[in-house]
Amino acid sequence: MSEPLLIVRNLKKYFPVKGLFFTRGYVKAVDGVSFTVLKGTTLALVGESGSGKSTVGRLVLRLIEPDDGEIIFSGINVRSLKNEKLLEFRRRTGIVFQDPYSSLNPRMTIYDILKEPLEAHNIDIENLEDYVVKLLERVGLGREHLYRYPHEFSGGQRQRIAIARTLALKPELIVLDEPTSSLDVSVQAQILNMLKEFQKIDKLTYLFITHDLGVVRYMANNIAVMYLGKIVEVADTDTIFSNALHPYTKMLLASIPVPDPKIARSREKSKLVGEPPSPLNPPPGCRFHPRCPYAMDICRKEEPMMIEFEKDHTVSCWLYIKK
Amino acid sequence: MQSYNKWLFNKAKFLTGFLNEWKLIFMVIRKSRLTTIGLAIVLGFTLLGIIGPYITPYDPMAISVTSTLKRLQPPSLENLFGTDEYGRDIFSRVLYGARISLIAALSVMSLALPIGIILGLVSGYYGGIVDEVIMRITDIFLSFPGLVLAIAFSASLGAGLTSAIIALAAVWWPGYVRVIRAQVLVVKEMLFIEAAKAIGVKTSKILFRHILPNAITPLLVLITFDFGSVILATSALSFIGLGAQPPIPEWGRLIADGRKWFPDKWWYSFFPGLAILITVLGFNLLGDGIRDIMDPRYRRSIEVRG
Amino acid sequence: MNRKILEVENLKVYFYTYNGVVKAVDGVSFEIYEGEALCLVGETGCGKSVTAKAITKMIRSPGRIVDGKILFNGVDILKLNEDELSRIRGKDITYIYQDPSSALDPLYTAGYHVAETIAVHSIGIKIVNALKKAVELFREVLIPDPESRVKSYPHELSGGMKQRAVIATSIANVPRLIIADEPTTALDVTIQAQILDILKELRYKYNSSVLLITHNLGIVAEMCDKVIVMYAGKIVEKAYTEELFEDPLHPYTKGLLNAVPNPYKKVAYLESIPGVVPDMINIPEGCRFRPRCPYATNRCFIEPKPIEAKPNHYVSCWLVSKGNEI
Repeated sequence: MSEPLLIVRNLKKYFPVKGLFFTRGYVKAVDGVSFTVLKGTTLALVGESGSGKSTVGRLVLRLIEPDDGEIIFSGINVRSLKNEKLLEFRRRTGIVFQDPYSSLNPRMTIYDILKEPLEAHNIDIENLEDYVVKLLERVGLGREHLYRYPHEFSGGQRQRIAIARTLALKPELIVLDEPTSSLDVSVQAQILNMLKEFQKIDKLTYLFITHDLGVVRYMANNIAVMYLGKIVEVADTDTIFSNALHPYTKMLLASIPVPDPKIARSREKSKLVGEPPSPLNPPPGCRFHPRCPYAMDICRKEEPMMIEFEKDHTVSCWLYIKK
Repeated sequence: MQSYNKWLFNKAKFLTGFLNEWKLIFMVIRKSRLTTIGLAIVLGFTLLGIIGPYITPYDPMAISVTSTLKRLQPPSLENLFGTDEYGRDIFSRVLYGARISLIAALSVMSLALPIGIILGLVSGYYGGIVDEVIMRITDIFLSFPGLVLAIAFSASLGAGLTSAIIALAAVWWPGYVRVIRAQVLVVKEMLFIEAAKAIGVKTSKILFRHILPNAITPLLVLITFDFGSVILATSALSFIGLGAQPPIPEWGRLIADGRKWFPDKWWYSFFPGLAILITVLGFNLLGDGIRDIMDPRYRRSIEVRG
Repeated sequence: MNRKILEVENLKVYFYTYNGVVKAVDGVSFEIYEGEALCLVGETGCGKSVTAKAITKMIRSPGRIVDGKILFNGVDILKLNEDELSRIRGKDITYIYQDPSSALDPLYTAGYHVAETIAVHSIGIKIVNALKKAVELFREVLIPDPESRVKSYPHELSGGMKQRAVIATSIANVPRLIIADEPTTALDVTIQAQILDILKELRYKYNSSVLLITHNLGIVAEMCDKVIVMYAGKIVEKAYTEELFEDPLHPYTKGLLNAVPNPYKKVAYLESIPGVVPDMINIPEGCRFRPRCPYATNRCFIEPKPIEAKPNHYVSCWLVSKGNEI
């Protein structure tokens, strides 16, 4: 049984919205998020735009400073890290972004890009070039690509380079922010397979942020569903797909187009209504109530707390909270 | 012609190890005749600036008994641009003036650019109070018409080319802060900057290795135009007596000197003026061309053949 | 028996660049019948978007329609001039694009766009009167509070709302054919589902045909009656949707179906297609999929012709002969 590598408790990030002279309000992008990621596993953070999932990814690595909450990585309090300890944290973590076109500096060669992490940490390696070439080969590229520039590569190849860059320092935790969303299906499959393989060999832990439930099914051990800055449900993958509890999770599952016409046509779509409200003015009570087909009075007034419905399956919904 | 262009294009592509710099020159030539003329003028000016003094037919400064006999002669085969009141060959002086202008422009830029770039980088990247302070100071400078301010500085520093250069540099740096800052604001949102942070790259490295190289492109156009403007401004200062002092044959100075004899001995003021005109025009044409080339829409359209 | 609305015959669209000639669409033929939903599926660079644009001759330099016929109600559209074409565009054939933000002019209200489309294609209707029709259309596409939404500017609307407004524009004149190019790719999944539902309803209501371009096989399964799979500028397989998913014949189609992670099926390994899409300038000899095909033989150096392997199921592959698969 693996231990938790990353524990996040009550994470918050409010972005101020500036008016002409004073702050108009706050976008509560992340509003009290808690989860745990076990070593060697993949936790998928699932949600749509405005859910705050990408922000969580960055908060966890302190690319954005959290406003509140705890982040414990391998027993270390991440928020209090400074200087060398912070640098050490950066060495042990990595991130892969969604857009392969802007995540590589267009003015640097692949060689520069890949050796930069090593230089930043003053790691001396004999035969640096060979080491970098090995990195490239791991992701399916080769020595001939060393001195080329990013614009000479396709999206899929750039993403491979980005992954190679993350692996250069042999990290333990990698945040993957929609790493394949902008890639073609066949390329996506290659990249996902590669990521899975690396996880097995290097015992990596992934925080996988995505909106694609098909990808989640393939990649994740556990799923945390986010809506408007809050986590609404957490369970392992099979449970979410077979026994989703939260109405939003059910709506999500009902919305995904299934690549199987037999299932697609016979599926009953739950009545899908409404648009996600603006995170500037979230509705009172449960944030999902304006769109929820099961909304009750209490949902409009009070926010439900997170409860453990069954073992390893938590949900935040009044339908399941017994008075 | 098409196949020649294609050959050029392929050669340019091959050298794309330097990203788009070579492609740029190729594109400049392809862009239009005017741009090529601009490029030719700029290159010619630079060349003259370097070797000019060595190829003058006469010593630009020489005054001697014999030369005073040749006072104020009109253009001839001997003196292409005529002579001045001391019998000096104006052609030689104009040629020499190219070097003066070149040195002046280079000096001003090499003072203004680093200041402007560093302040722009810091201002754009850090934001907050640092940004406010730098921008307000910059705004103060920018609220004065450039030349007026330059005159004020120059006058207080005393006459002379050096003071003119310092004055102009002081007037020019704020413009660069603005341009760089605007680009930095864009670049710093790009994912590779976040990636660098996530890796643990130090801020100074991020600024100079990641942000600066990507923020500098619009500056290229501006610098091209500015070279012309600085030359013009230096001439202006010299014209009113604040810049180069005689006997330095700075173009603006020459025009001022020739005023006494205008319009009779028209060649005195005319040729230095023509030199300024052509040089500044050259930089402007080139700058226009480069700006159009930088426009991504244009870039896509030049991929067309037939 | 439904009649044919659109017939594309041997369409070829080439792009002339300094790097070489990009044969983006190289001999594509298909038909769309009245009331039918046809999906063009493929990955980046397969030519599906170019095909869609070519249908109303919206190809700009350096692209050129080099060959082919596009028969709309029997008339070859490619032979019409701009005037005649503009009478068809927006009325008989309408478009929905991926990015609703760039489809709507930020200076005009959403309602204005719809009204303009109506007014342009009718005689004597003023935009003011057309605005009333716009409100009705907004209601049809399930925009809440349509009376006030017609007065909203695009930047005041969310992505889903904007796309609905675009759909309203596209059905305003009861088109015969709606061409939707990745209409939901930029939208959230739950909004996507709503938009697709609206499209389905409208299709039945107006009996319009839909040409849906997408790379998402899930959308294909949900929306379309027939599917065309494109690869590197050519059609590799054509069939009814259920048939394609149940019995894909072309190796590319098989690979594509395997590569899509199905949320309802847990797999240990995603079979991916090795290699990358070919360089469209230096196209491989013979079958374009040959370099990546696990079943390639020497015969594949010659380009296969499409055959009807099963009733209404067409494939371009040497491995498949009429009636049986090797």
